[in-house]
Amino acid sequence: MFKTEPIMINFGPQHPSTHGVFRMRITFDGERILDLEPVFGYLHRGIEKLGESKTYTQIIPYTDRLDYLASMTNNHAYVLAVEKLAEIEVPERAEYLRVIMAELMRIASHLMTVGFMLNEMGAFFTPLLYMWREREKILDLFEMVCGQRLTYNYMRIGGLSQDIPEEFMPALERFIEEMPGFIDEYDQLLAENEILLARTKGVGILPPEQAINCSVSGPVLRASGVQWDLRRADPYSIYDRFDFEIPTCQNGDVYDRYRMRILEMRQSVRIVKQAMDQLPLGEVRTKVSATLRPPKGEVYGHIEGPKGELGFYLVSDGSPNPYRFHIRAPAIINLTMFRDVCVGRLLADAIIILGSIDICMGEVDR
Amino acid sequence: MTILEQFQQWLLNYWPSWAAYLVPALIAFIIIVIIVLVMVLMFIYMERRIIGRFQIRLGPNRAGPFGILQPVADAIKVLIKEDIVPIRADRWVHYWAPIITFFPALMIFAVIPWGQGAIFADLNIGILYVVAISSVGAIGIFMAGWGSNNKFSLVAGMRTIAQMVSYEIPLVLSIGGVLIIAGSLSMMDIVEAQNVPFFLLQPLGFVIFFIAAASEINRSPFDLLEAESEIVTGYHTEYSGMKFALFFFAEYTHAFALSTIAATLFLGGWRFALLPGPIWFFIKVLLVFIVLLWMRSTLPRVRVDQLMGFAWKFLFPLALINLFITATEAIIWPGFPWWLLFLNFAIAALLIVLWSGLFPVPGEGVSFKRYGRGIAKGMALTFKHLFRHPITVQYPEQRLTPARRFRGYQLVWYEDQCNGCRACARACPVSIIDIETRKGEEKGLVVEKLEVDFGRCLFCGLCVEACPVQALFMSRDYEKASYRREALVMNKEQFIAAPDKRSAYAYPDLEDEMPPQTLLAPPKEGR
Amino acid sequence: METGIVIAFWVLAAVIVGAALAVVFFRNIFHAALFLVLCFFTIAGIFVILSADFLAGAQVLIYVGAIGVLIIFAIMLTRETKRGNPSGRLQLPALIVGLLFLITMVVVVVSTNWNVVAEIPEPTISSLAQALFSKENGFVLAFEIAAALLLAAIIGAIVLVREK
Repeated sequence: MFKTEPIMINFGPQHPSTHGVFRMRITFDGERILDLEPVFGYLHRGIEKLGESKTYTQIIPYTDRLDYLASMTNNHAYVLAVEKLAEIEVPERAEYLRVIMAELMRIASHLMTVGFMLNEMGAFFTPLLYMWREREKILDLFEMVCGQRLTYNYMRIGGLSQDIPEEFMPALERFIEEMPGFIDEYDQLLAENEILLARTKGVGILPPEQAINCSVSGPVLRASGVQWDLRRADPYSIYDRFDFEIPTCQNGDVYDRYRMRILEMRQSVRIVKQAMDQLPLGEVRTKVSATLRPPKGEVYGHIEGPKGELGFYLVSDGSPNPYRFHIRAPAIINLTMFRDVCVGRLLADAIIILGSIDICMGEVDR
Repeated sequence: MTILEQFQQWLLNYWPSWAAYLVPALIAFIIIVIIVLVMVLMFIYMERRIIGRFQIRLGPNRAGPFGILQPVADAIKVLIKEDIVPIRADRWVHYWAPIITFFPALMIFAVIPWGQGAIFADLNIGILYVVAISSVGAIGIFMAGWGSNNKFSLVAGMRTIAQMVSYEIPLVLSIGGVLIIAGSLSMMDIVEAQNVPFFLLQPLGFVIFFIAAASEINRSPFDLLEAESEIVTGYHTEYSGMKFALFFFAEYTHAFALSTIAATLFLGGWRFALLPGPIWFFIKVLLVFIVLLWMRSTLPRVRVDQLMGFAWKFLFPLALINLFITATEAIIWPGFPWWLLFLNFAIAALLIVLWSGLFPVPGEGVSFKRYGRGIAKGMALTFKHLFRHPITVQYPEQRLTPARRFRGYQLVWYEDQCNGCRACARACPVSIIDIETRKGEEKGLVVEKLEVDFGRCLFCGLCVEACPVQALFMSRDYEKASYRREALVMNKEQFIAAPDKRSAYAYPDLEDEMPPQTLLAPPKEGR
Repeated sequence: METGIVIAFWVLAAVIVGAALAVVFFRNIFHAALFLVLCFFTIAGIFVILSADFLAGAQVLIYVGAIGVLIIFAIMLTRETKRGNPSGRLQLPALIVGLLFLITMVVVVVSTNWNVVAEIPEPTISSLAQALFSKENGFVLAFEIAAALLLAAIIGAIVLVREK
């Protein structure tokens, strides 16, 4: 009787809720999605090519700008890769401080992700602004340490650029004391909210086999039930000295990914507390020449970033500049499962599934 | 006899009949329009300020004292914008859509009792008129969606019709309960009959009415028509200028209208002790509106199929059962004694618990626990935040002190210590430091030109770290916007001229001289 | 009758006839549907002139709010509106038949003895309710049958468009 025609809508590069310049071409039948084609590349800046003409120390500010919402972890992954390549020892105090910074960055990134996911669900900024309050406190701490709030450039090859000031530890102690209370506040606002449950439960289910096949990593993978965290599976830095859990959830839907990030925030608070207690005195930097010439070879250094496994693949030919500098960005690899998860769902679901995968266009496009 | 009718009767003694009926009606009409427009402006202002307080921030407070003139500023902004009509849009439909959306909302005010006898037209079909007129607004919204020649707007238009038609049914059925108790459709009679306010006698009816009304006026959590994150403001995407202002106004006028109807039907209208009628009326309307704002700021949006399911499977059966029970009570206890409210509350609670058991969240099976408790907890938290001190900083009157190690805007350079080694230029990742030297009189190099292009600077601080003689510092400045791109290229004179703005980045000995950073969560005393 | 009522009647009548003609003659179907909605709305105005307030409210609610919306939705969903309202070849016969129909209706309406009440009862709703639902000479059975018919129609519509 009735023949309906599918229409194709461009969720263009300019759209209020696609996390940056991301474009989706969605074919609809009424409100159901038949096909979804992500188009990106609008923020490509050629960082990998640029890296080939800079020295190893000069690349560090560029890595800040990859996932600009979690700059510390980008720095951390990169310097870890270079230290692995050049076999440089890092002092103890620097390792502990790196862990503190990385975990604080994880908390900040998750706060932002959950806040914006709820913003897209229509909760009109309120959860976002509550989470932003805590993120501001973390950013104040970072400003105290390295002078910037978004792109830190704090870690150097062989340690950190400078030691923490005196007022850092008291401020950090106060933050860590209050943070579990604030996470409980977020749970009170959101965890049992019926509308949130109705919007997110059963939406965008990613089965564990498909997650592994698509090389998904990070909270998205653990929300599908696969217990894989690089901090346990392939411990880097000094993560094997801390006692923390790797939470997982069963279903792999949007609600579980949201839940994962809240649980991970709690674990990060735990790690920071232990690191604060065990912090030794000492230097924070092994002196490394500005034009470091690592031996010839290649290395892949990876960490567990807030969005997933962030890896840097460096090929060195003995000169001060790397021969090849490749970034394994978790956001773009997590995006590969976006289409399969969205087909058959409604438009509103596609938006929140994108929010739950947590992309940052700086990383996707590099 | 309403006040208007009394005035008209009195005028009949002096004027011919057509003037005696027409002129007071015109005056009353103008008064009502002024009240509505002023209240709508006030509602716009209240919405932004109060939602700001729910989110522990100040709302707009720059335009006028406490930001009172903000809606006026919005109105002026919208009036002077260009009115853009898309080329292939249907001109007449595009033109008439905002008008057809706005006028039904305005016409509702003809039957609202503002006080004892203060009503524009005491129609016998008062509430039926209101329901009939608000159903015309849906056509206006659909015209807007259609006339914009935009797929997003069309999707929004279709969603509108589905939503507004679905929610009219529980709305009308919940009003039916009130009508049975009051015995008349006239708004004045309904207010007169409320010796006990009807929200006590009809708790379930009130809840259903409130939710259905929030959905009719497209307010969060049911505002999918203007869901920015989904369909980019939906049906009014392609509207600008005065037409957009009319849509905006229509939304708030409709919100105001439904608040007044809720206050009249369920909260007792203008009746209460001590204060004159209209003041209580406005207080009740403001209360209803604040609850609407509260809901908006706390709850996420529902999806369109869940919206439909909620209307047809949850609200509609409950409204029917409520009507049935009210009719039964009307037969058994015709006078509606006041103690019936306990019975009604018990029935309402029982029905809500039972029905939410039958209306499970997908994937979780039947559960009795979900009857709005999660939403209530969330709203309690937002309410608690309403009374906290906002954390807004009034820039530029209040400025926060940046960190001691702040990597700010420009460099500070000590010329006498610099030895022209160019380590900073070599260290810069973006190669923006331009140095030219010449041989000086004594041994050593003197820097002739030192130019840094701050339009491309990353503020990474590698140059400062690389300097071997400690001649280069970062500064703590962050306010350096300029009108011309060339002004961002700074030379050495500008660097020398600012020695007291040094930042302690890479110079830990300087930290004691710097003022402390303003922290959002300063450490407690004694640490 | 008072002059006000006469003026209002003629204005409304002109609008109704004009809107109805627009529905028939306009090419753009969406505009034709909108003029149909206007026609319904002004018919409610005629009811108001006759002091039938409940009927006016019901007219707006049912015709404009429900049927008008339904027609617009149906047009939008099913038709290629760019092609518009194609005119057929039967224009002249349709005009003649229409005129004959009009003349017949006018003659019948004018020559019937309508039972008109002298005094309009206020409020009209209770008299309507009495006429429909009273025990002696009410139409309760007809009312219930009409309700059952509507229910069957709704269920039928749902069954027709249900996805398997």
